[in-house]
Amino acid sequence: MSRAAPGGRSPLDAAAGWGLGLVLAVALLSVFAGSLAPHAPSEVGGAETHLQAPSREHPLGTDVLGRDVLSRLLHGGRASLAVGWLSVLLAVVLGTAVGLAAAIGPAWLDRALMAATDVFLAFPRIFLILLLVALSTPSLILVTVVIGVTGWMSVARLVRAEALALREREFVLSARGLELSALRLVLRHVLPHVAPLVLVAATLRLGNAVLLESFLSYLGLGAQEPLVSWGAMIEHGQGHLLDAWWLTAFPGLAITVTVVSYNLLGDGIRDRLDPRGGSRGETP
Amino acid sequence: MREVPLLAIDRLAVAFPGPHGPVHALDGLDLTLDAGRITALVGTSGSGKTVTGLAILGLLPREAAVTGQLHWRGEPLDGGPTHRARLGREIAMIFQDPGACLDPVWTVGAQLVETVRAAGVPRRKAAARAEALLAEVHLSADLRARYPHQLSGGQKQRVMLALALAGDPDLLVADEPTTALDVTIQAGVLDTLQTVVRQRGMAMLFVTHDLSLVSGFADRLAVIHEGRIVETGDAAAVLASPARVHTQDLLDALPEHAPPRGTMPVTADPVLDIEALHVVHARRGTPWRRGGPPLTAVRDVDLVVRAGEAVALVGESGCGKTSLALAVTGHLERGGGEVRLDGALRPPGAPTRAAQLIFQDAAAALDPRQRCGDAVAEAAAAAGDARPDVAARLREVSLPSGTAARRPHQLSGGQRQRVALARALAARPRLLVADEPTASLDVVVQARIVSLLRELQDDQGWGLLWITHDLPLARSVCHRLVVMYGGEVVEELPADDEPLHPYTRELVAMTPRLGHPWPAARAFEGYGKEDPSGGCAYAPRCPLAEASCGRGNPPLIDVPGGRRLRCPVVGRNRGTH
Repeated sequence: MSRAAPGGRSPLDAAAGWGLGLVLAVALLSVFAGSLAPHAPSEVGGAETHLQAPSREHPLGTDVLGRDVLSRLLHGGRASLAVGWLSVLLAVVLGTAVGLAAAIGPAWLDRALMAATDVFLAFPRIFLILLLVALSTPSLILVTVVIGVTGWMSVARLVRAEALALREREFVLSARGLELSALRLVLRHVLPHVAPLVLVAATLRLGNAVLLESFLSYLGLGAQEPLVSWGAMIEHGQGHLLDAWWLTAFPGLAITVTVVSYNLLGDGIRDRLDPRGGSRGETP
Repeated sequence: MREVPLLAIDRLAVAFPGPHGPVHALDGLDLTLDAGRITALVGTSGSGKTVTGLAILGLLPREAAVTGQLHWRGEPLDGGPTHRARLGREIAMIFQDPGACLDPVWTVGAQLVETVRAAGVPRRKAAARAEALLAEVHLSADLRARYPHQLSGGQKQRVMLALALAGDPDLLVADEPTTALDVTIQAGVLDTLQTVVRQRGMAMLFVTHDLSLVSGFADRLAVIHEGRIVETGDAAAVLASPARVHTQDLLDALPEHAPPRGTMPVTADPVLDIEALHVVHARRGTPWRRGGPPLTAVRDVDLVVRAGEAVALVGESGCGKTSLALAVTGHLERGGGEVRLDGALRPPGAPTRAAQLIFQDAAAALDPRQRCGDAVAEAAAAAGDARPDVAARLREVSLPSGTAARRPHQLSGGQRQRVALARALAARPRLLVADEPTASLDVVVQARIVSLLRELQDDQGWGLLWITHDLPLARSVCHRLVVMYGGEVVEELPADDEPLHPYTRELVAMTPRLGHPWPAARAFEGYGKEDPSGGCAYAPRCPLAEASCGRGNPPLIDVPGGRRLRCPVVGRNRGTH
């Protein structure tokens, strides 16, 4: 456990603050991309504007069609973040429900759910995703669902393990002694203790989901023109890695910053949700 | 000129930063320790006794603000490198929880050899030295090959003592070293501790909240209250005529000074009626190793608790008392037998509101995320009271109504146990099953909880099953005692009667009492037989054992005076006299 310096905030709090700040900044920039972007993302320029290095007119340069990279980056954040958030939400809700049901429910349900989890885990995720996406027309909604539906297993295992330990804790025994219904028991005395863990896992997975979306879009299976996402931008730019580095560097940087900031925020949330966190510095 | 003391503490003050300004743990503490003497430092929880120990060891947390001086043989101890260098070689320590201090992945022998080597013993002599240390703390050399989890609590504490002695220290700081142990084991460990300290001519600072341990054990007694020594002197003299009110409080709080509960006429209806209860724990194997045969934790127990009656279930750890409590409240499957609550047969493995459990550790028994008021309200709602008067419920257990808004970790141990009690009572139980609810509290807080429970029970009339290993405490809380050994009831008697069974008598003899010489410890540590067909389970450690005790389990027979007894030897002797 981190120890707060007398009268000050611990370094971890500061890191989490940076994480939160960056997460908010990226989110706001994406949401208000329409009014912030200096150009429309698909605005094609004349031949003289193609592949320009960063300049006053185009702070992050232009791509092969003369489109403004900064504007595309801002709009691309929308797609990347939306896919990330929604797919993680789906994965976390599914995983938490499966994990809690397995831990608190009857033994046969536990065996069935865990067998299903193992089957899903045994299947290579990337192939599953590629198969599903290849069988239908590529779209961001499909990508979101696919990332979510293939990402719940680790959350389910995490939640099940924690809930199994909680089930034996004395305060859960004492709640059982009040003859509370199973649903009430889980919502009141198990879920709140699992929640920080799930939140931390969710923020860590969010970075992962953004990466995965980029990967799929990079393969041409995600965002389709005229929609733009960070992965798709890197894909378009890869042919000019040496002569137009700004095409890949800035979307890559955006992905990195997003992943790191969610990880920092995840740590911060975990600390904040610890009920003993509020009274540090009491007599030992 | 007076000799320089081994350790002199001079106006020591320690403060920790808190949310509302500094919290003073020690406030001008003066104490001297002399070589060859055992000094007991006695106080309630929060009085600063542990902080004193940490200051002597130089292990105070960094944020502590320290003023005052410590002198070791005239040289200052400042918590710096020279202070740390004395640890192990000149100053050693043992703590309450020996399990937490031993490394689970190394054998006892390996840990001893490592410590002995660190104390400067050459490699080829280390094994012999380790063996000598084990012998000194009365452990057999066979234990060297064992891992800590294969040892009993008493054995672990002895190993800790051997480790502490490895560097031939001049001072041993022992912080509640036997609080977690059964009385029989405690007597043995304290006996060894005393012998070792006397033989080596060491000094010892013995930190405890229990004055009954002090008489016959310590030479000097220092009573600490709110970070200051309020009374100090020869142990026997202080105990005989305490000068200060704080010392008197500690004395009055001892269970042996509490008024006995007395007996209750057999008129009320039983709220709990157990017949032939068995609890069996399966020992599951792993894919690599086969599980052992199932372990019978509770065997053929009959027990009745009447409305308004308090029954103590007495026995040492591992005797099956907690398994019985969990089976009675429906938290554990039964291996056979019947449990009736208020006359109604209970299905096995189904917890019921009518029988509420109070756990030893209230911090674990309360949901850390739930405000105390919500915890009480939830229980009341489960009992059908949708809009309960939470403040009144808290007042009932002598807690201010402001407690409702607080979370368990913001309360003291005693307050938490009161909240747990208020929650259990809000469920309107017919039976309260309390599993050593005061074992982790100091004697003063324990005495208050006990008198509160007695009042509430007299008022509300539920039945109480009180699980403990502390006989004087059982007598102050309960009307009737049921003594368990090896999963079976060996004796049942009214609380104010003299026990007959040799095991109960051993428990009485091993319980430290004020003004009595220290009980002669018995070497036997461990458990009797698991299979009753091999004879009486207690026979291997029984002073009255005869050849016939090894043939078949003796029956539990009724004895006049509302008693039951499982010992044909005592029964026969009484019959002839």
